[in-house]
Amino acid sequence: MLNQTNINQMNNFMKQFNLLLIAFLLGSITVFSQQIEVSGTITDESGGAIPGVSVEAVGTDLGTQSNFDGNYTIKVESGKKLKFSYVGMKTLTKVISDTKLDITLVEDILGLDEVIITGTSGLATRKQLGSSISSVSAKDLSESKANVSIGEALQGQVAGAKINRNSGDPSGGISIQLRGNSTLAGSSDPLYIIDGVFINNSSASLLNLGGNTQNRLVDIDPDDIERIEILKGAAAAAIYGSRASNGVVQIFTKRGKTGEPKISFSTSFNANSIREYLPYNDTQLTWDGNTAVPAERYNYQDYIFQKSTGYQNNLSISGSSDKTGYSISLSQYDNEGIVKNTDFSRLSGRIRIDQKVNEWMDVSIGSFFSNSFSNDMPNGSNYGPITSLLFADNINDVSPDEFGNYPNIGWMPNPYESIDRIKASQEYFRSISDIQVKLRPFNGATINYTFGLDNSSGEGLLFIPNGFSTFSNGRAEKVTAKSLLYNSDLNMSYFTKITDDIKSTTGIGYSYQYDETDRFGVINSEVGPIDGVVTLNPSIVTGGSDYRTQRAIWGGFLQQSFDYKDQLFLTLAGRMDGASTFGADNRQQFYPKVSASYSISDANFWSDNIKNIIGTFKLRTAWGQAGNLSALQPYKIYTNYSAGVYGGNIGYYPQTTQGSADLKPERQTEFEIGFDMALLNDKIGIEFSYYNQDIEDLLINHDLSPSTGFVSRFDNIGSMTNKGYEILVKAKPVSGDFGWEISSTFSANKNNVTHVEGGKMSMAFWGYVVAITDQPLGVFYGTYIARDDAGNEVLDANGFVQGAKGHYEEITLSDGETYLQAVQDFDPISGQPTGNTLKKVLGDPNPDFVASLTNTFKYKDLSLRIQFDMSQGGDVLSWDKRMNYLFAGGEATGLELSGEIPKGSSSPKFGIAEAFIEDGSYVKLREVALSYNLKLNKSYLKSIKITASGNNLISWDDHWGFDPEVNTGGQTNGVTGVQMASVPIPRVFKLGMKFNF
Amino acid sequence: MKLLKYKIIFILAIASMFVACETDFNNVNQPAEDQVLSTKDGLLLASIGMTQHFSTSSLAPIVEIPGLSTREFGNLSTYLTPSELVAGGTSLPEDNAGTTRLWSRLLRDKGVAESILANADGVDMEAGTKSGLKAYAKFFKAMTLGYLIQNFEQAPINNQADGQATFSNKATVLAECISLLQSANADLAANAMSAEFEATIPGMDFPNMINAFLARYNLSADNYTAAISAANAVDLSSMSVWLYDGSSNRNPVWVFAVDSDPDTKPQDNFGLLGDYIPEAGDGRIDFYLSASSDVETDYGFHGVENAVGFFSNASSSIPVYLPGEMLLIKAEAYAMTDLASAEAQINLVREKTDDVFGVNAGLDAWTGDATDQTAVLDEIYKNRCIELFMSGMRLEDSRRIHDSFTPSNAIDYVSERNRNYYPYPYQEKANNTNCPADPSI
Repeated sequence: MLNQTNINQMNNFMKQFNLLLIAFLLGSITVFSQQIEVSGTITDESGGAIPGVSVEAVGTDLGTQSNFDGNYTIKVESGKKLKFSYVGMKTLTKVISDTKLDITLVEDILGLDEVIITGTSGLATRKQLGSSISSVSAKDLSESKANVSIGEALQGQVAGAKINRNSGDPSGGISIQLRGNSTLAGSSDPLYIIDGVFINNSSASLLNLGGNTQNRLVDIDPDDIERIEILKGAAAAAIYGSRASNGVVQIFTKRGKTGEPKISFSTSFNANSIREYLPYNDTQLTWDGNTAVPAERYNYQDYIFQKSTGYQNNLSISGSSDKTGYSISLSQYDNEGIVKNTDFSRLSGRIRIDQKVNEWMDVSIGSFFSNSFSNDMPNGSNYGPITSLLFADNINDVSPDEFGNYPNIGWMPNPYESIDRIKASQEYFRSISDIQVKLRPFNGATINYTFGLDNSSGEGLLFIPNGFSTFSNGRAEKVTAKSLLYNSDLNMSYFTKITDDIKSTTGIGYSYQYDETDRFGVINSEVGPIDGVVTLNPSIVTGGSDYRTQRAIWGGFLQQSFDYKDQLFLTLAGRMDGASTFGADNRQQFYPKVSASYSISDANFWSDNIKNIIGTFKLRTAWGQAGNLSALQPYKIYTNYSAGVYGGNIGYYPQTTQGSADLKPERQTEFEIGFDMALLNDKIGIEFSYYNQDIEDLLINHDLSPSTGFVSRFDNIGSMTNKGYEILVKAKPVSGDFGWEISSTFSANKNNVTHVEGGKMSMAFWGYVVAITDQPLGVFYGTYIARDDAGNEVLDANGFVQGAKGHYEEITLSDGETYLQAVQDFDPISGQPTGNTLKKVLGDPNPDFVASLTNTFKYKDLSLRIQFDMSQGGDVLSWDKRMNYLFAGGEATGLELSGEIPKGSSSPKFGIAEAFIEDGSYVKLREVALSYNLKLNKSYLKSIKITASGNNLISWDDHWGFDPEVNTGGQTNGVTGVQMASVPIPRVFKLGMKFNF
Repeated sequence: MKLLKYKIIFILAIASMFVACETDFNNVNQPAEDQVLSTKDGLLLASIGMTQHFSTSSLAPIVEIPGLSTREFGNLSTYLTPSELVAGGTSLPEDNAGTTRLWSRLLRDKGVAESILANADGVDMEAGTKSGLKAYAKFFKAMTLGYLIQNFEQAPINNQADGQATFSNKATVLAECISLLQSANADLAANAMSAEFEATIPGMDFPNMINAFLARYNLSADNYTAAISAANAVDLSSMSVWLYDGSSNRNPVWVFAVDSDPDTKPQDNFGLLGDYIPEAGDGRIDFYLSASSDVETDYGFHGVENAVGFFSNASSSIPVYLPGEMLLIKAEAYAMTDLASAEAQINLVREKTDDVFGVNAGLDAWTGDATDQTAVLDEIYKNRCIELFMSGMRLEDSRRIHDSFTPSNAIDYVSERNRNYYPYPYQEKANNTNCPADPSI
């Protein structure tokens, strides 16, 4: 029934769509006229040649690029206009009057002339947009970075983004949060699109490695990227509908450009090391009763961590002949981890062919494949060497004896044995392909059709040999996961002049997106004792799983933009969409948006006098809505029954979670306002945006009264807000032979949960990470130190700190829910805490702000880039520190042994969460890169660029532990700032060379 | 115009690709509720699933939770849940995980039984299969409701999807249990259960099982004549058991009380004190217990033994009810009016050597004062505690037979029970405005 209704709806929609198409086509015309050859040189203001400038005959599909010396030649019809564009320069359009045309391009510090594709109907320059859209070009994705993935390459580039590398593992996951958290149960990562293909960036791990999960962007080589566009919230992303409230990141890969074929080869070598050891017990004593007696203490970290190396090679060839453009690249990446026996390697290749079929049709075909392989080591909250490190007393030599036997050190695995004997690997094969057809049926109209396919298959293998200290029978696991995504998108736009002053662009589009997953695993907990024999015997498998999902998302949009005198811009849009994961009655969701921008500096009253100071000033504002469905796995609308066997018969029993047929997407309403300003002849550019997001209908799995027959159910019952501002400042104080550029981003976000059922709900880590009404998402909740009214610690009889005790009083929160507030009680006689152990909110992992400062100095062909990243005001819940208080290998025991602190003063802190909340603020010297571009200008070799760089060199922080940045919560939303045996982010030195042939 | 025609055909071809797009997907991993409840196969599968869940997940708290409050089990761990239960009194909080488990699992089973009853009539099937399906669901609902009312002062007769189920008092709940069981009997009388349904739930003798529970609930409801006649209708040689395969379904009491260093183990002397301590030579001691020198490290420092009997290993079957219970029901019902007949029933239990499950006291006849009703009832209580050991009955038995005893509010590791009823679990109170106030103790 339902199915049929939807198909009917779509049928009707498509009929109307087809009629519209025919109307478009009837206007089709073709024109021919005489051609002349125009040539010239393109330079910048200081007279330097600019290679690679795109030269395009307006209104035709003729185009070329300036060569290495800045020269260009193009055949074009006389009287036509030529458009010269280059990233970072203002686009210039000239009418052809002569065969010679030299051009000087001036800098465009705000990039207002850049064409933005994502979220617009067709092409729009940034100037026309009402919302702040970041665009990052390959030039800014510094090649010196030890980038394993795109996320890391973006660090420090995007105002409004919090980019966090969650683990220092060589394939460690990276989360990108745009303008704060916008979901509680789902992933807060944005929607990723590569060349029009909606891709899988899942963090589903094949093996349970205890917190360190890869995200699938790791399959993509950052070297292939030409440009990235980032929509940060609902106001910009409304036309992406139900999956866009976390923002949209669209990646454009390199394409063949008109001009000579370009061949480049780059190679690099890097060396990795641990930046800082976890503090440990380095006091060469141990307790014998109450006496400290000499003992040898070991630094197990010397065995766990290593200095490691990696290398990277990339070959790319691109070019374009008359009608065919091509770009081909092959790359190889291989990097060892700083934890012994971990590594990550990736082989990838990409090809793109752009073919002009005829005057009105272009076809583009792209194909990408990769093979990613990692050797992993369990850690985090799971068994593994760093986890053991937290619990072990480092008084034992845990290296194997002469027969290869590893000493047993209790209930936790011997860390040396884990390092040497656990084999965990994950391998993914990935292919992403697309076919795009672009039609220009008549002047002003374009029709784009994109079919994208993202296919991946992964295999995880875990092997713990027989005889391992904590798995005496061994354990073997094999898990395979397949995923297939495809999207089919049809977009049309029509541009027309209504009057001389008013131009109109109309966009209409329809998209169908489908994805399916298939995961299959088997576990064998009886592994034979012969090392190296690792396959699972299917006849004695002791466990496993088989789970498959399918999902579809579909919807259409209509977007209308008006342009008044190239000064005032207005856009109205709406999207209607649905997803199979939601209830039938809530399938069709409508997301509107309105945005406007006013380029005041283009108005008549903006005199030259003002222009000398403020060259460009643009005001913009936008309002829009978008949805999020990442919180909901498929089939949650159904009450599902699980299989069980009784008396040899199969039976089915309802799961504890009841289905809810009324589920709908989470909805974000965002308002933003801001300005773009260029000062002092484009020496300084400032972008400022303020935003206010209301997120409603948060999907939360909440408790039911058991008399329903169920335990919990997902419903749309929570809400929260994000308010913040973001600033991007770019400056070029000095240019010429010696150049100095500054780029700085600043992002402040304040999250506030406005409603969760019951006022408080646990999110993760055994109730330590919670959502509480009137608090930021993911605050830490736990026991705290007893203090008197003056704030002084109330010590126990031993003079040690102790946990607060007392009673709870009900208070009413702003959403009417009640919350139990802790009130301390003290014994009137002894003054000691009395009553129940109390818990309260102890810290907030959300930073007050994150900021970056990059200075680039240039002297002729030499350049030096220095980047600082900063995060201030976020707290870290450190299990690493907690364990240190209790277990003898921890630093605290060392301090007690050496007499620096009293014996027994540390262990009480193990039970007081406040004592292991750490300040997560840091300033990091993220990168120093020195590069020299040697211009040879030979026919066989044009240039060599040599770069020496260092990453994660220094961290200024008050944090106890490895690194304030890592997060055992992984890419799970809402859970940030939790540390438990996570691999720290390595310090990396890298030497690279790039040859341009 | 030829070109135009190509353009049109081309674009229409693209556009038409959308028409065939699918937008609804069934769950291929698990069936959804409406798939299960709308067919005969689905309803039969739900009956099996309900049996599987009850016999493992629900039976564990049915035995363990009141067992901890009535000294059947000692607590060898320091975990919060058993520690709070053996302490009892008002220190047992509403969010105790054990009472919450008992409450919510029974309600889930009851919910499935209700779903089967609500849908069975709408599905075509053979008359004997339908009568079996419905009779079993009615039995199941009565049984789950019965276990709820043995542990909580009030219970919701019907689950409610909106979370606001209304509660009924004990008399009303028991009347509902009795009426459900009578209705189950009537279903089977009208259409004898088909072989198909009998094979669906193996190991059970339905008419005897239904009558046994009728006897149990009539006794609880003080319907003594009805209790006697229902007990008389039970063939004592009939066996109905919960089955375990030892791997995917493991004996739940074995799991929590026997398997690898358990947290809870049966107390010495069945947890009985003074006159209630089993007499030397009582065959039921060796049936249920094997000696162990373990002692609690706190919580009263009771000695504990190893559980055997129906809990010896992962695949041991557990009786749905014991024939000895029928004799003891009759004894107790007669004890209200006819002490001599009560004594005769007590002696049938004491002298039993031919129990179909092997629960044989093998003792001599009772030598106590058969003219003293209290003495007779105490002897019945003692025999219930021993005969029906670890079956989840002792809290109800202690409260019914020793109703003059009121547990104290303080922590109590010794008295024969430390609660009368459990507090309603927090999750119910927080989400159901109809949840009544907690019992005072």
